[in-house]
Order: sequence, then C-alpha cells, then structure tokens
Amino acid sequence: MQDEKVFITELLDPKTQNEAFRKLVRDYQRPLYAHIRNMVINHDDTDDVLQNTFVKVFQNLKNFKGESKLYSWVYRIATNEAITFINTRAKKSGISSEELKDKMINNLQADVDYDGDAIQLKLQKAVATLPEKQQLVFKMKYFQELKYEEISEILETSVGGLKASYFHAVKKIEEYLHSN
Amino acid sequence: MKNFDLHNDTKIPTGFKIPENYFDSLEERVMQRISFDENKIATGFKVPDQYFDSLEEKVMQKLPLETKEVKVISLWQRKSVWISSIAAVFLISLGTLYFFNQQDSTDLTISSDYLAYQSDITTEDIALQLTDEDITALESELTTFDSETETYINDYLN
Repeated sequence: MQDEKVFITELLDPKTQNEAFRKLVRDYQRPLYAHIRNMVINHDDTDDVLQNTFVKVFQNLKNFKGESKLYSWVYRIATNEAITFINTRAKKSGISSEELKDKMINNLQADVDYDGDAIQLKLQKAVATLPEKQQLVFKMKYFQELKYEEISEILETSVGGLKASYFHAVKKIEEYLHSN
Repeated sequence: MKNFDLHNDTKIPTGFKIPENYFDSLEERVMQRISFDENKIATGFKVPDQYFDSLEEKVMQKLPLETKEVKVISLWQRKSVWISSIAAVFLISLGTLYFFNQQDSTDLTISSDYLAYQSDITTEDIALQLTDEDITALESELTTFDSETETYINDYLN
C-alpha cells in the first residue's frame, strides 16, 4: 500500500510522471488487454478501447482519491470504456448491444485473430447467452482467473452476489454445452 | 446367537441407501467438473505478434504529457497574427463608418418628421432659419415646374 502511494505520487509529479506512466502501461497492458478483449471480442476494437483506457487513466489521475486500489480503479475505467464502446457501436448500427455481441461471436470463425477449436467457440457462444452482468463475472473469474475479492472491488458488488452470479452462469453454460 | 458363516450364509447387505436417479446424472456431473475445473477451456483469442512491443509508445504518443517538449514560437513572428490584426483594424473601421452614417440619416429623418408634425413651429419660423442661398436653391428647384403645372396650381389654389 505504501508502495502504491509512492507510485501514485510519482504519477502526479510532472518530473517523474513520464517514467511512472510508462511503468503503469507495461504492468497493466496484458491483463487489461485480456479483460477488454473478452468483452469486445475483436482485436482491433480491443486495441482502440485499451489505448483510450490508458488515456482516460492518465487524464483522471489527478482525481484518483486513493479510496480504492489503483488496479481496481484502472480496471473499472477499462470496463466502462468497453461497455461504452459496445453501446455506441450498437446504437450506430441500430441494434441492441445483445444483438451486437451475438453478431461479434458469430463473426469469430472468420476472424484472423481467433484460432479457437470447436469447444472454445461453443463456450464463447454459451457465454454470449448469459445476461450482461453474469457474462462479465464469468469472464473475469473463469478466463482471467481474478479472485472474488478483486472482482468485488472492480465491479463494486458484494462477494456473495458475485458467487451467486458465477454459480448461475456456470449452470447455464453447462446446460448449453451439454444440450447443443 | 447363531455363528455367522460369511461364505455360506445369505449375504448381508450394507444397508447404505443411494438417492434415486443418482447414477443417471453422475456421468454428466463428472464431465462438467472435468471440463470446468481441470481441462479449462481457453478463450481462443490470438494477439498479433509484437503487439505489446509497440503499445507503450503508441499510448505515450497520445498523452498530453507536461514534460513533452513544446516548440515556442514568438507571437510577433507569426505571419497569421499580422494578417489577422490588419483584417481586424479594417473591419472595425468599416463598421464604425457604417454605424455613424446610419446614425446621421436617422437624425435627419427625425428632424424632418419633427418639423413636419410639430404644430408649434410655423412656416415663418422655418423661413427665418433659411439663408439667402437656401432660398435661391429652393427657387431654382421651383423653376422646373412647367407652365401647365403652374396653371393647375393657380387654378386649384384660387
């Protein structure tokens, strides 16, 4: 925690800001990429959202109160950026965000940046059938292997609620995998 | 009590009960646990080669960093400032000229209306204000009447 305070001070000090922010990008680029990619599916869109996330993090550093941990604050910005991206894209296309996600999953097979086998593709399709929050919780727990406590801080939801959400998600996915 | 002969006597059951349809769903439950807990299914997403090698630079280019070197150009060295200044002076002069011209014509209209409708001022009062030159000018305008018009006026007035 003390280290984080020092790091945040470095991020806010114009003299050390450049180097500190480079470190933040290096530390967070891979986990944030995975988080965003799981939400927006396509690589190019992930790249856009990821870069925008870092820019937003930088612009809002001065407003970071330190009430939550830096990683949960950064993840929260990434989550919001990805949700905003999906909603905006859906609105432009004149369809709902659920329809857009279905469309993105159906396009996966033709995507050059996807090499999943039949079961991986089936799992993606199964996840896409879940309600939005369950999707998010399942992806963060199952694919990204975040702890319930970490997801709880990022999504500002109780651990109990998350466990229930994940349990329901797994049940539905299992049913989908065995019936399709 | 009779001595038991485990090999020759009727076999004694365990007494354990199994829930109904237990084995009907066992295979499925085992398979689910295998697929979700042990043989984890990956996302299948691929990341282009060297994507993360260049990401840091791309992000840094997008930031409005205060430490970034900014080239300082003197205000007076900029041609655009001079051109803008000249254009501004020209527009202000034009505007001022138009504004005052408009005011003059308004004043004249008000004056003529005032004279025409103000009952306290007689024709004589106006005549007293006219100079000889004014009267000569008015007379020269009057000579433009032709004889017919003059006859008509005389008939009409008489």
